[in-house]
Amino acid sequence: MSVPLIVTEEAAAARLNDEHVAAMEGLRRARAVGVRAFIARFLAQPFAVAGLVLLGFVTAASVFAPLIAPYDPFALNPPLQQPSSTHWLGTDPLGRDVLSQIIWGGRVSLAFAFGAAALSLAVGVVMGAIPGYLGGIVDDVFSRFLETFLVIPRLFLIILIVALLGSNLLFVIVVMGLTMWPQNAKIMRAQVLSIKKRGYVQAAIAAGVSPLPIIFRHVIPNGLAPVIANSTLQMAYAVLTEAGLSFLGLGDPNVTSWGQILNAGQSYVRSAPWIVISPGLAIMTLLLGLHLVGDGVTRVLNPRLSLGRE
Amino acid sequence: MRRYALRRVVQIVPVMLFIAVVNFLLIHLAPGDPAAALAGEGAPQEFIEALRVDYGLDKPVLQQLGTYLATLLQGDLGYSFAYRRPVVEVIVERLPATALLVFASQIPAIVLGTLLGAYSARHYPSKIDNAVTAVSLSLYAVPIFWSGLLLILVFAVWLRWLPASGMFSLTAPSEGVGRFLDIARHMALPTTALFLYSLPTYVRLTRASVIEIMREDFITTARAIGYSENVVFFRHALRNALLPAVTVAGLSLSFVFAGALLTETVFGWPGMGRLMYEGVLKRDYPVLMGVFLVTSALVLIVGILTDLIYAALDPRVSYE
Amino acid sequence: MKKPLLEVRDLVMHFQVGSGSVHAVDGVSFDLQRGETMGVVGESGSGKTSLGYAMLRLLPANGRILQGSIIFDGIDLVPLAEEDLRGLRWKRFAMIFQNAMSALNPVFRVGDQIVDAIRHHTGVTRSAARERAGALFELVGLSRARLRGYPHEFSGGMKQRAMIALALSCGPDLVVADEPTTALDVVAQGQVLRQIKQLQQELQLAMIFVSHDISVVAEICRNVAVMYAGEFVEYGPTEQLLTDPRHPYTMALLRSFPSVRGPLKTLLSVPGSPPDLVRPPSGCRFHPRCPFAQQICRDVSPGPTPTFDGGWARCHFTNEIRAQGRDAIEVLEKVQ
Repeated sequence: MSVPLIVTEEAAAARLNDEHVAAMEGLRRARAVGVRAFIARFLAQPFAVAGLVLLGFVTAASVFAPLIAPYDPFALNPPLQQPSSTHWLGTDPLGRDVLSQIIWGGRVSLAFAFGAAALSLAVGVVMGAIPGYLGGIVDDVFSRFLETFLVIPRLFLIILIVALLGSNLLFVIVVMGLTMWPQNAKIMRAQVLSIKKRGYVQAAIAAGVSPLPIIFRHVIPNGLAPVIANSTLQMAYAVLTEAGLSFLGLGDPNVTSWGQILNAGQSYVRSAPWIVISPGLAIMTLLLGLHLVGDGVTRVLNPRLSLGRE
Repeated sequence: MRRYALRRVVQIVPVMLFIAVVNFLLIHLAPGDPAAALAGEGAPQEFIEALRVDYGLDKPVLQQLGTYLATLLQGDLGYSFAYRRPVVEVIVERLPATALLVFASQIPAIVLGTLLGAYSARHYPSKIDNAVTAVSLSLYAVPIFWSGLLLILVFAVWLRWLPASGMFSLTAPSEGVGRFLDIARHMALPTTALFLYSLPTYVRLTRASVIEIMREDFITTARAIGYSENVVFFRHALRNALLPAVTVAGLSLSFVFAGALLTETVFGWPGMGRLMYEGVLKRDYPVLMGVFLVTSALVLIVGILTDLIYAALDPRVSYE
Repeated sequence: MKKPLLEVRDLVMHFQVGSGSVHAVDGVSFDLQRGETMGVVGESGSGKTSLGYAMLRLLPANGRILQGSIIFDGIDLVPLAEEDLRGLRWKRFAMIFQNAMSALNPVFRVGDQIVDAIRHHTGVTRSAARERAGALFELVGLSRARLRGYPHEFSGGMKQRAMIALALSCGPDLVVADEPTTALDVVAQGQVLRQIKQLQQELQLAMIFVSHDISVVAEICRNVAVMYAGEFVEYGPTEQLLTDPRHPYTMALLRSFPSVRGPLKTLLSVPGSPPDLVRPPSGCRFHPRCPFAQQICRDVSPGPTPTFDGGWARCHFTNEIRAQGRDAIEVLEKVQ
């Protein structure tokens, strides 16, 4: 007499004090079920969905900037105009329309968010997986290097680089990605250290499969989860850092960015406060969206609580 | 313990070496004449030539690196033409102001953050907990230079309670209680900005830590023994849950410095952060490199201290 | 007939989980005399651990006792308020936890944890408590010097023994041991078991020994209850139950444990997987996996049919199956 499998193996093999609660937890956690389940579980969280909405809003506004923005963000209109029906968010000291600047500025922030984080992800994952897998001296040396890098105050380094080598947009995105990858590498390496002991990896090794295919086909995909969760935080960091750089005057002068608006407006806080208020709200919106989504991702991948920065 | 501390101190060397090499590389990667870069913008030609000889910039690259490292070891961080003083002097002069901000903001942030996080975790899940989570998540998303500007707007411009920038007023007494109060008035807003910037980290960290600890088996044991919930929470749980906060406090110094940089710029506070900003404006590369080096060293030292403190607090950590 | 130390009647305990409630304990009744040992065996997910925790009313936030009584020495624990319960905990009944690895607080010395427990329930001085802790350590075979150690400095077996010392520290009448040897290697397992048996006999402790391993229970317990899907399906004196099981589940369980001592039997595992405790099967809960199941098993939940010497089995056909004798075993073997 056969019985349909009602409960997963994970649930049956519970070693916890409380088999039943563990059984239910196991059901929920069943990671093996794949992408569709992940998406479903993600969308079940109201905060995560809210974050997605915010992100979508910012992205849409940026993508459709040429259609939505009322003015050319570089065009010079009467300066320091208060918010009015012609300029909804007023104009800055040079006469540029603030609303248009904000709409176009979204592009830069998103470019940084996705560009730098993607580069950091790609490099970090590979650079963390390979030494972690190979072990031995390679791993030792590499870990030393990682620890060294992680200690350095990143903002200062980026400022130094940009001040010396230029503030071209693409260049700074690459620089940022290259300063962020050690964090991902550290996470990936930790994952790899435990994954390489698992059954399917050992089986592949025993079967004589060479290291590279093992790393890329078995090890990396299974260790990606926490790295992806960390990536949303890195995206937020990239946006914040870019805004900070532009605020300090190190932004690319050929593009509009939110930090630059604040840079222009900071001397006019007394006389024209509107210049300073709206870009900050824009940054907040994007960051909030990223954090909420990141939190949501972490919660799905790990039923326990997600941690914050760092 | 002593051997461990010594080993950690020794480990600073390769890091500082790495940073020095990075500095060196950047100078040479920069477009133009490295000597001109080292001298900083606006330096006269004789000065640049003198620098070229001093640093041996006409010699082979490796030899230059050697010379550079040697000068660093002597504590010579270069000469800032813009300030007409050795970089070391300028940095040392600015350091106390930053230290003041950092201590004044971090200590309340750590204390209040952990208390709030623990309180929130104790009442998990509940509306209070949700509110705390929502507020800290929002604070996370606030850029510090923006919150600084807003604080100026509200408290200096609209309410006129506090000054908008600087560390002293010209009209204030230059010593005694009067001076102390004057500095305090100027410090209030930038400290608040840094405080709000660091607070959510500790709230979220402690909250997560407490919630996780409360699920541990030894908490069940404590309850089984018959201790009251208060004893279980304060004595058995917190003692474990607060440990990660120590580590994070140490690790977060580089973030704090970044925040200080932006805050001091907004508030015109004469610290190391603002020095970095001025260096950017004036393209004063020796200053930029010097500040970078010093902040890295400080982060490393604090990191070591934190590790030692942690090792003393957690019996599971041995000094090997 | 002496008044039992522990009388459990129709205990029902559920967990609230997301979609529904898990019927962890669904109608359990038994008596336990002073100094008597009872084993509770079952697979993972049978509810035996939950039962152990329910005994001490150590429920997680989402657990609720829905009905039934737990009468300990005349006091019903179920309606008791937390403050009163706290006074009884550890002093009258204690628990040896499964995860000695993590059941001790890592930042306190082991000796201090025992001393604190002792001082909490009695008012004795620190030195008196420390003396007692030292005596307890010796009782479980640990040296007194270890009192100053931290949990991470103990090996698995040592930690388990420290847990036993902790459990006994306030002189309880009843000890619930929840899989105390599962996490240990075979050698340590034997040592700890012998220790427990010796202590139980010396101190005349009433004990409920929860395990998924019948051979372990056989060492120590006079009576044993077999638990499945939140219910006791069989109960009786251990010796007889082992040689002459009356419930199909027990029969299958016994054949799935390799015994180094006995003759080489065919190793059967129980086919199928543990039942869904949110929606337990109708009628007899074992019916989906029982090779002897009939229509009535699907419809009607069997009551306890007396077997021998105070034992019983919840099966409509226990007598018929027994009468078939060898044939029953062959049926079971064929099911593989």
